[in-house]
Amino acid sequence: MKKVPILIAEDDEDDRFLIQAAFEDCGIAHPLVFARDGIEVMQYLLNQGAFANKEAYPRPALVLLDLNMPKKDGRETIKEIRNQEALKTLPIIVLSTSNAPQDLKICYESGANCFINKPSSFEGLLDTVKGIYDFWFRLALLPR
Amino acid sequence: MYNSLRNVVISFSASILLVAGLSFSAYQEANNATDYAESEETKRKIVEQTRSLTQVLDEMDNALLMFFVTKQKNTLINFDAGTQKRISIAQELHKSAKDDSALNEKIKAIERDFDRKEMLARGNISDIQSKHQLDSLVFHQSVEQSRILYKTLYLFKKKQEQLLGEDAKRKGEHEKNIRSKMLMWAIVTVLLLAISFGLVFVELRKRITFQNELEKTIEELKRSNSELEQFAYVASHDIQEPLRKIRAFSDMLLLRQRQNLTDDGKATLQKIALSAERLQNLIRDLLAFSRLVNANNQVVENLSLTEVVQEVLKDLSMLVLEKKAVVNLDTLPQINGVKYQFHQLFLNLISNALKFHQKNEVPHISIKYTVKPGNLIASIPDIKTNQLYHEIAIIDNGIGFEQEYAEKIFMIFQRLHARTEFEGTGIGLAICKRVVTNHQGHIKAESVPNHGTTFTIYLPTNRKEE
Repeated sequence: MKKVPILIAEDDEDDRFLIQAAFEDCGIAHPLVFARDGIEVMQYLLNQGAFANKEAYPRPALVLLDLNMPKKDGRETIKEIRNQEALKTLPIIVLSTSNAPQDLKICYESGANCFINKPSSFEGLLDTVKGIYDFWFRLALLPR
Repeated sequence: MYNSLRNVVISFSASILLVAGLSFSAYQEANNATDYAESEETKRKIVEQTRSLTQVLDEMDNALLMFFVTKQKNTLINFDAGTQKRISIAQELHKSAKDDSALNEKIKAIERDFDRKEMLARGNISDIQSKHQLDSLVFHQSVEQSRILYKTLYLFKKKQEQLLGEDAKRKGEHEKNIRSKMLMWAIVTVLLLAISFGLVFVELRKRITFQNELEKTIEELKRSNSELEQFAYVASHDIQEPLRKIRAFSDMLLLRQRQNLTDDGKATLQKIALSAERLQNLIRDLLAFSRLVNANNQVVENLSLTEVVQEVLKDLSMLVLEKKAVVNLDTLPQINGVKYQFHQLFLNLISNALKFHQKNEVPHISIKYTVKPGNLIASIPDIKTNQLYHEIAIIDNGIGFEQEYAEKIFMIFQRLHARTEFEGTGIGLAICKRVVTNHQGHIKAESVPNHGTTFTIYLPTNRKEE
């Protein structure tokens, strides 16, 4: 059976590379889908534009969301996702370099499920990815 | 500036004094003028009444003459009337003379003259009635008495007229005098006022120029401040990002290519990662510091310092465990402040205490609290003596430092140790100082090398000393 994908919104190519490497090194088999900004995230989730094929682009298990992105940033994206009736249950994990109190507040208020600081080291990133996987795919029950 | 202010005050108060003087002398002058007018009026009345007396005497003499010629008794009516009139006029004269005793004496003398004249005249009249002829001696005396009376009255009137003239002359001179004096005073006052105005005007123009400059400076400051904030944002994100990646990639290289790397290569990669980390810390601390400097959008709340310190200890729990440190914490006060700033303050102070511990000793950190009145805090010069202060001391048994550095350590980028000895950016204590001064408090350090350091924080309480 094909595993449910994980949607990762990240505008920075290096970060995409690092996150992908971390997922690989942790041996996580879920396919990763990358979006470059909030608009692509919404297109993917609503199967619009390039992501119209529902078979090829199914609903992800969870969204890893960067906050500072061009066009539509993470804060707006959270609000838009929660505005969609079908997406209210989708787990949203914010992965940002910001630790500003107002960012934390706005993200949790808009409906993010958790907020993680983007680690500086690759080792830290490995720990983070492993942590996310262990929690969301082993411990927690995801909505079906 | 104070000099010109003094000049303005002097010339204005001189003007005010002069104006007051002028008003007072004008008031006195008005009073004088009324007095003059009254005395003039009195003298005129006296002259007038004297003239009436002369006229009465004239009428009486005429009546007498008529009687002597006609021997008709009814011709004496005017004489009798005159005797009544001169009494009432004399009374009025006395009234006019008021309490001028010399004048009253003279009037009495005139009355006595009139008495004598009347007595003599009545002698003549009874002579004619009884003997139908005049006693020539008495007649002569009577005529002589009239002459004396005329002369007295004339002199009296003349004297009063002369006095009147003198008064008028004196009054004129005095008025002329006073007028020129007042004119002079007025000119001086106007001059002084003009000078004061000039001084004020010059000062005002200086102030306006100064204020314009100040406003311009404030505008520039605001602009540069917002530019600084933008810079801080750029530093936080755009500089941090590539740094984070230098760390992440060198880390990844180390992890993934471990077997392909030589020891030298690994060491080099570690150095790259360490340098990047150090720069990251520096930027993080600088940002924290700049956030304190631009502290205008931070919320002041009532917070429990005990809770703040407990949170800090939780953040540092790994380090505390690792160093097997012992921390004693008194109950700290509730204060009004920015929570984030106090977190920074205690984080820096406690992590310093942990960092600079002595190699062969267990770190002991005590956080002690008392309330102290300002006048008992001798070591800080600009403390308010009538204010009660929270005194919070953070005492460690670390490596300490020479007391001569006690002030220098609070300056930004000042370090006492080589970076290889103790990691650090030299910003931590500058942040502490800033937090404390942001909350109108003071901080000082006391230290003995190899014995430990005490950082003491003084924060004003809401209470003044009774």
